[in-house]
Amino acid sequence: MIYALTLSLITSALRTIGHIICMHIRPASNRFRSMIKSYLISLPFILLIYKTHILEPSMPDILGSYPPKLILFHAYLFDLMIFLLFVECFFHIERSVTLRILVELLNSGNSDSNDLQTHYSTEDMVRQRLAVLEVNNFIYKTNDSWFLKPKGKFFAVAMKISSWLFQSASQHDRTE
Amino acid sequence: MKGLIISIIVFAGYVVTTILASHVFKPKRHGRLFTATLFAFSPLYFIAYTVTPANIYVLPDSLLIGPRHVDMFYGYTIFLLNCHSYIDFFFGFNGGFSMSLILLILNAGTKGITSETLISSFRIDPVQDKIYSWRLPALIKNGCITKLENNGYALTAKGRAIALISRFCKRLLNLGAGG
Repeated sequence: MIYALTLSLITSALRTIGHIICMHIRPASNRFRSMIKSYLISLPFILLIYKTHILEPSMPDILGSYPPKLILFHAYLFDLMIFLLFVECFFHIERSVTLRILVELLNSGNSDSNDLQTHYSTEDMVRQRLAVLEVNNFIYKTNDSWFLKPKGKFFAVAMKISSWLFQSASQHDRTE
Repeated sequence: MKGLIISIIVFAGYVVTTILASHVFKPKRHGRLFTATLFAFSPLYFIAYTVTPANIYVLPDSLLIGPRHVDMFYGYTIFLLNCHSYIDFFFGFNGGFSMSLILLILNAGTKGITSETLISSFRIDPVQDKIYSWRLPALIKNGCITKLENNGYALTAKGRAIALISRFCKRLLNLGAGG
């Protein structure tokens, strides 16, 4: 088990470092797609590290008791979970409006709400997100009006169901 | 393997409980509901792991290998990671700004909706908007910012720490201002 977890942690660390370096050298327009690509590229690494027996001298006792198939199963599962955690944390940092407000306050010192709204206005926020949604094929524009593409419609219906399940309000309905 | 199976069962219970609790309590903010349920289900996982037999009535002997405590904490880690994904899904999906825009476009139907109408959907009046109206009070309540006498806002030590970490992460990941 520890061997499987070590395999996945090493692979995850290599993938994350590689991804961050790549995004500094040549930032991808679609970061989610680039993360998926990096995950798929990193998949053989677990098998490669396992087959080359690099880690074996450091944990011989543990190796003796665990079947290879089970080691690889746990290594791949845990690697997937860490990958999902990285993707989630990435979007928390990138998309969070609250974190953006805090960073704006950090950069500008004390500000009133008008200053904040000037630096980071709702109008800019909406226009920026609409541009992202258009690039990612969720929506399209005709005669100055926005419409949903099938992908956008699927997510909108799914959100309606999810809002009912959790009895939650969306951002435009929320006032407190 | 026992830890993994129990963590999946407990996680399923966690999901069902949070959905039922949302219907019963109808919370305005779901963060506390998710956290409180997580605190309740964490001991439940360890109890379930301790009281059930090693093979949990179904596992073959070939899968009952390895130290027990490692398996138990591995299962709990998987449970926590699943909970994180689930909570993140909720906030990204139900509370997401992009999803809110998509929903407004869906509600507009075949006529579509202009950018100006979408922007006005987030306004309470010409001065206030829905993005800031609840976030700033929430940040004050959570101890991240304070309101000054001149109506300005300043970061508290907690808010400053979060902002510094966020700014560092954004630079590390080579992101723009974001939000």
